[in-house]
Amino acid sequence: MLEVSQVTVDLGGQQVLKEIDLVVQTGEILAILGPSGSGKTTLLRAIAGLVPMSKGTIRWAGEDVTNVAVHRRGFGLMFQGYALFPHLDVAGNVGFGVPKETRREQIAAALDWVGLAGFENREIEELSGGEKQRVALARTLAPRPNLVMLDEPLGALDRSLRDRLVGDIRQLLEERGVTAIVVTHDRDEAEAMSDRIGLMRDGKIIQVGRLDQILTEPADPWVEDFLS
Amino acid sequence: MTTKRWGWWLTALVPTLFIGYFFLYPVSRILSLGLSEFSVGSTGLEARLLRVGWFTLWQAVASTALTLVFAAPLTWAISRYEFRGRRLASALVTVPFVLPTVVVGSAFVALGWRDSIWAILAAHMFFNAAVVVRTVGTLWSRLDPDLLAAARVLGASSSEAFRRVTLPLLKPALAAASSIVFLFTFTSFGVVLIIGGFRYATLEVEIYRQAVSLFDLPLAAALAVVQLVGVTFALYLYTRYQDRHARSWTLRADARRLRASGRTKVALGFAVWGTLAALAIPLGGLITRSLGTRGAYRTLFENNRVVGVPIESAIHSMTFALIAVVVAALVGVMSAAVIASRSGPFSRWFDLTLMLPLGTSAVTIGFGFIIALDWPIDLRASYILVPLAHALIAVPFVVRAMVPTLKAIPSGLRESAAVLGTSPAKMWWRIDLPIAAKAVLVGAGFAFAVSLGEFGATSFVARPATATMPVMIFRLLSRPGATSLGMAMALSVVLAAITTAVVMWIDRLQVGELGRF
Amino acid sequence: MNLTRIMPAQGNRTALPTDRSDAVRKTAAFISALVLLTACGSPSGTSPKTLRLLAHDSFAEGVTDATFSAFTEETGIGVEVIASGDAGSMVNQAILSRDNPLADVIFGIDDTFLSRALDNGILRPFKSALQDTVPSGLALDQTGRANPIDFGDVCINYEKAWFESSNTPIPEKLDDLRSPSYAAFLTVESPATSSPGLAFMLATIEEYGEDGWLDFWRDLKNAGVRVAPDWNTAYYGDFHPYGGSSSMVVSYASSPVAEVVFADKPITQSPTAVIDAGCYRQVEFAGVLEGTKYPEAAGKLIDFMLSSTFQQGIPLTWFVYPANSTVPLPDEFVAYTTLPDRPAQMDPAKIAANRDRWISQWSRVMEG
Repeated sequence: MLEVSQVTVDLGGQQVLKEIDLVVQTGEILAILGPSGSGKTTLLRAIAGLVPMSKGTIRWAGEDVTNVAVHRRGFGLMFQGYALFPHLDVAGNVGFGVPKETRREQIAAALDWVGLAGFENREIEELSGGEKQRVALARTLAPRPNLVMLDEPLGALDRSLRDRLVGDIRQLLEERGVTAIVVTHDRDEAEAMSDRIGLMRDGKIIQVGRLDQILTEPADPWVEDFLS
Repeated sequence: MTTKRWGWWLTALVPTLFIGYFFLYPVSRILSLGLSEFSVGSTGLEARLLRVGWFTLWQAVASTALTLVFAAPLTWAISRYEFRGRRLASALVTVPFVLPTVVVGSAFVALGWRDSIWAILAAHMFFNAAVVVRTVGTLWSRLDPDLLAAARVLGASSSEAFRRVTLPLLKPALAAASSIVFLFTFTSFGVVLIIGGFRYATLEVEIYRQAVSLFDLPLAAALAVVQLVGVTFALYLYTRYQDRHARSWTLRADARRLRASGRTKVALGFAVWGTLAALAIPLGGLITRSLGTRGAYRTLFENNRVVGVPIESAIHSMTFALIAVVVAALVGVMSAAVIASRSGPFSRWFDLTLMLPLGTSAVTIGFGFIIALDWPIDLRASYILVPLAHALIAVPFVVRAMVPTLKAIPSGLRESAAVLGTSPAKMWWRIDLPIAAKAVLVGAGFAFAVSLGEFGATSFVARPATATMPVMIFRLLSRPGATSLGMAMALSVVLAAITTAVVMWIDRLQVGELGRF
Repeated sequence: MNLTRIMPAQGNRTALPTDRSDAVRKTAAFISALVLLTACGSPSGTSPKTLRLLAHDSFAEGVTDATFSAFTEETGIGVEVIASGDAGSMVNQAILSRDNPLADVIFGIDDTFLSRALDNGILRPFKSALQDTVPSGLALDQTGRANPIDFGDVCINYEKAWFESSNTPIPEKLDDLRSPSYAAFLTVESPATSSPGLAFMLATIEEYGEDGWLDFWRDLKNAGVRVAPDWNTAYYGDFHPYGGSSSMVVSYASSPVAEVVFADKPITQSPTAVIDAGCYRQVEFAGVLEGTKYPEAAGKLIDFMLSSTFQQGIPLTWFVYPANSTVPLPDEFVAYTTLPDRPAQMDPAKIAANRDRWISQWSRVMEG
């Protein structure tokens, strides 16, 4: 279980996250939905440990990880632009976070999950947009992280591809039984991929719940407006 | 397809003519003149040649490696982080690069750093750090910071992430910077003579000794050929490396820098202040001496019957530098476009040839000019020859700064433009150039600095008696008297200030502004 | 700097502080010359518009508009100075461009390069009528081609205050320097890279002969002499008045004068002086270049350079002595320094034949 409490982030003299409280149950998929600039990406980065927090704590399985270094938290983050390493091939990317002993098997397995079996020796440059997205997903999943965070996983893809992949991602996450946070600005995507939705605006979590619950009892007029 | 070929050859033509007429032709004329009379005569020559050649090589390799290490912290600081005075720091580091060796030489000597190999290596680090900071910095500041973040999230410690991600991505720029530093130190002259004392001789020093002091042109030519072969071999390795390792990857068009906090801030402080302090030690004496002499700065503006008005040399220097920058930028941009657009033997040899002037002894070029450049018009002793000689040395800087960036332009961008029906020329203009504009500026900044500080090559070119700043400084330094020294030091400080200001101004120019025309 | 103090009577032009209009005019002329790119093609005919004068950098950089204005007024011929590096580099450039000469007149060939210039046949016979005014000791060329224009003596300079405060007697002969109490405080320039360094080495060869000179240098080395690569490193890096630790340095007989003229506050006595031992007389020559289209005008320019108009400006501009002995020395040269009694000189042919060997021998001793 991930517990985020009172998390506050200041960047360049501006408060980007304001006392965020959030709980994600083990095995649950939570979507963070909000307009651009609402602090969704910063929230993921704060949980991952990439952004210094001015206040608050982050706990995983009851343990305080606030002061644990990024690379020791055991969290996975898939970046918005994928951030694939251009100097490495597909296997080099997917196996980056995997220990040497089991690397080959884990790369093969992860590529298999995302439907890219046999892509090991392909160069990143040669891949299509959809293939890049799946390599990035495989790279995030390969080290078997406790928590998976996906930042706009479908953002850069065209419509038809998105529709197909939305289902794939959910299925993949559910099959592995991982705890996950998915950031998106699209209501339909959020609904299709997650169990619960957290609504974000101006660095604050406005409301958390299932989409139908939120629609019946919107916290304020802005929520109603945003979701319609 | 044919029009594309045609345009490519046409673009290649201008740099080819430039390098052909101003470098290959004069150098081959002087070398063939010397070699036609060469005979293996005196005994013990081979042993001496071997000794000098070996020293030249190993000190250049050691100097290059040490310069990379010395420049690394500052490069890291100014390309990854935003802080007050970042631009100033990155401009200040170029100052040693333009200061004449005679000026810094006496400062080194006064500090007791002299007559040893360590003094030579230290001086090479001091003079060339800028090449690394600025060449590598350009690429580094454009690397997507998410790549590093991704590595961290995947379980890499920060040092592991640097080793596995940042370093491999910086390789093209590291290789480019190393190649230039290597050429500079391989052909080192002033530093070896003045700071190293009389015990050490590079091939360059030996060529000067044979050609100028002893007028043994055959032997000088033979040495120059050895030097050229060494330089060509090193450059061949480099261009082959560049061909194999340059891949397209996404570079940000704008630099993204972070604000440091906590421990990073301390490290940043050490990196910036430590490096600048190391550079300032030899420069400190310069400023103290210029301020210690009464009226040193004022007298620069006065008509002094021995050297005229010293500050006029600044106008001469700036005019020459401006011409050199324009020529070097034109030739360099065309060359970089040719080299980056196609790999293969032609591009490789073309690239290599453009770099050769950096690794050719100044005496060879100067004497070559004298016997070759009276046809079709007599350019010897013409005003234009000095800035052209500067441009010859500056072109490689423009090319080196641009090629890694041009090669890194993702092909996806080009493809999508091609789909939209853009012609190759237009595509280059619309896509490659704006992205490469920043690199052009870095190259132009160097071209300016090279021209402003160049002393060695020009002193072997017959030219109208128009004193540039380094020449004027040398002139002031070659007569006794406190005022002479004070004025020389004051003029050096002015030279340093102009360099800093111009480099800062060039850094400030935005890519967007250039992209518009 | 007090400019009026150093102004000699003979100046054609008074030195005025901040002559701004002049600076602007010269800059404009320079830029327009650049724009026009007029690559020095001279019109043919017996009397040229301009003569080209090939010179080493240190001469060229001292040339101002006034330097040749009297010549131009008199003959209607302008003078364009072409700078070409140090003396060695200049002579070599003249030899290399023999078939299509860079200039009409060459100036600044010194005695150590004279043989090279004569042997390679770059000079036309021309002997100025004013050579009668030149002391015979300077006329090193018997073939009537090289005309001595100036000379300068390379001598050891010492700091007066240092010797006074340490109660050390001034050395009187070269042999005195063999002792560590002197040699350790002496800086010499390397003859391989420095012209005064070469001159001083030649002086020691003249003094001790082929058999003894290397022993002298061995003693100097063992006694801790310092070697600098060039004059300015020796003078501004090692010399005690400028923060170094040597109280003696190989420089010129005229250096004490420059110390007064270029002092940063007015002084009436030079802080340095010359030791009258181990001095060597360097002579600089001018000649008409073979292949010039205007031999007659070129000869006139050399005549002008030997005339008192030009000669009297030499000392305070280039800090060497006029070859024309009828020209009075400026007061500063009388007051602040002394010319050595019997400076060494050597036959240029002998220098040319042995220079390489001597330098190698010297290097072996000093490196070993």
